[in-house]
Amino acid sequence: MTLPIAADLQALPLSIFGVVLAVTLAITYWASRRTSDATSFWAASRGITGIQNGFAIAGDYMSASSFLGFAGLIFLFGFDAMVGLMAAIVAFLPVLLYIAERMRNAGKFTAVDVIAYRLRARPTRMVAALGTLAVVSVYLIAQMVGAGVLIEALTGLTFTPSVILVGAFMMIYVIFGGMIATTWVQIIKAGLLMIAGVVLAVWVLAEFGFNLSHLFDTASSEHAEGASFFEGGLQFDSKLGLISFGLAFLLGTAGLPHILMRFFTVPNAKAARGSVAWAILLIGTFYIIVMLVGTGARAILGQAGESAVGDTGNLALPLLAEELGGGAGSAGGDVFLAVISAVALATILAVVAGLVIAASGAVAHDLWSNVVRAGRDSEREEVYVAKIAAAVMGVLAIAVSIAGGSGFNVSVLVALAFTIASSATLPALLFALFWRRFNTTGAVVGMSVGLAASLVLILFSVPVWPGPDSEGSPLGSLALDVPAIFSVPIGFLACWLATLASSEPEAERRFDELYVRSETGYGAEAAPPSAAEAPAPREPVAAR
Amino acid sequence: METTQPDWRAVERSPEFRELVRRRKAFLVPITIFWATFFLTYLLLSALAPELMGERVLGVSLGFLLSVAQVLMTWLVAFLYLRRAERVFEPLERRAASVAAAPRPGRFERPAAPVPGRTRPAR
Repeated sequence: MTLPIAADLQALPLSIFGVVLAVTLAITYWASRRTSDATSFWAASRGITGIQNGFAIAGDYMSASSFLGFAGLIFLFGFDAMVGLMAAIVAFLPVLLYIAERMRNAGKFTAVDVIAYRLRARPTRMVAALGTLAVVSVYLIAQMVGAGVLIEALTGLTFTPSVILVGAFMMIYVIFGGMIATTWVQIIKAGLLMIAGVVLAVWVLAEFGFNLSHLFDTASSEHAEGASFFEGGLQFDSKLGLISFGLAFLLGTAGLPHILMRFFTVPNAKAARGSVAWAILLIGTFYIIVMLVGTGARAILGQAGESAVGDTGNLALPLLAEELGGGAGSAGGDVFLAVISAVALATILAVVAGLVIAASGAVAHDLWSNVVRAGRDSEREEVYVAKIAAAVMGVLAIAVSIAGGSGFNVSVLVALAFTIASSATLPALLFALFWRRFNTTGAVVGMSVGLAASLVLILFSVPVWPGPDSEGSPLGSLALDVPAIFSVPIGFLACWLATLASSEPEAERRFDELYVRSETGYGAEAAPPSAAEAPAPREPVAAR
Repeated sequence: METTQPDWRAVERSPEFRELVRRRKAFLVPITIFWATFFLTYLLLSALAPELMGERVLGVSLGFLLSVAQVLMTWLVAFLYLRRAERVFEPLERRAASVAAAPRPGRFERPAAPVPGRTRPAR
């Protein structure tokens, strides 16, 4: 390959991309003037309202894999993919009921703040931050590779420059605009995504005279498996595979560091729970839209469209848009395709920015400030390190994505991210908040075992060992696409056993403090946890 | 802004905090059983009874209808929780927080020896 920058450049999508990028740069400039200290950098000065944060959570959560990926999977496999989507929305109930408000009440910038609150800060934060980095970097590479493939298909810009473009903008948002820029990019993206989704859904329904029965009949008759399209069983080799896939989304969401981080941007717990409710409203609506549009893509593009949308189905939606607009080559088709492509680009940018800022929190706040410097650094230093971390993370992600190229299996990476989040982060977070007996040993061993189990099981998973009954995988027919059903119990069990095998009266004593603060919101803003952890409070105490 | 930490153990044992925790648990346990059962039933049916999910009801597949029902259930639980939090938990949180905010050594205790270097505001 002679590294062509562009094969067959499409002017229209590129110019709409340009508009999207220009708007986000303007936001970043505006945000950069409001970003100075650590609270503005990571928590947008805690000035985001509940509804804004609801949009931002939706923008942070719904990656290209929700928008293009799941629509494509429904196009390819039908019902199985709908189950995955539903797991991903029900997943916000644990976030709402057990985590969001407590996170805002007791934490400062990262979910690790809450896990480490009453435990020994250094070992806990070190392992927890590694867990965060594992989830974030795997998810980030998945998004970047997906972005490269997508932009290449949609605009003609080739893979490498596409990845560099996405990576560069993501670094600009985070480094100059911090959480404020990230938040507004996510809000705008969520708005665009909702509008695009509603337009697509209404258009698809109109094609079938708003007769759902007609749509469903056509969709199943257009699939080689006919009725099985709505019965499921097409995506996974085994029944256990589908169940495990559902559990990974259900439980992984509550352990995603970039989502949990969003709860620190609102002023109080009330706004935190309100923002989850808004996110649930938006994401739920959008997922119903995705089910309809994915079914519509099957009905309209049919079997003839299968080769064009690719193995992953990622291009089903853009092609559907083109078809609805009047078909390839028509003006309407070109415009609609370009608009959907631009929405997809905004989607990717918003998610990767959220991931990078979460990574910078793990490196600068958890590892540098609280482990290396043990809370003795200044806020200035923390923000400075955060920006370096964001830059390094961005460059690494670009390099790995290009080195791996489009050969990276994006669905394996996403599965890995959700598996680690559900098996390593979630057990420690829940035990830290609700189980007095939980201690540092339990957290460190539990998170390490959860992380290791996720990695090992993914190495044995179906996509790594394709073929009948996953031949060659040491797990044989027990190998799954997403191994959460095994790794989650392992993670919880490891936390539990290691806790019982050790004793830490101090952690149990300090549970009172965490419990009171997380349940009541007492001292939520006035007493940052780092002041309690570190011997010397960072902010000078006013009265003495 | 408080200059000393509250007596967390005493707050945790105060009737105000206990009531908050009890009322919240009384809501969370049943609602957790509800949403988890509702979703897991759907997940298991999807895996184990595919023909049932492919059944056509009202022109669409039962699986699609039950999927939409998951979204509606999520909205319902979120609505119920928000309303309960607003009406019941928030006042209880404020009461429990005021116990933590009360000057040490707390309401129930005998006047303690003055904290060195500090005069407690008269109440």
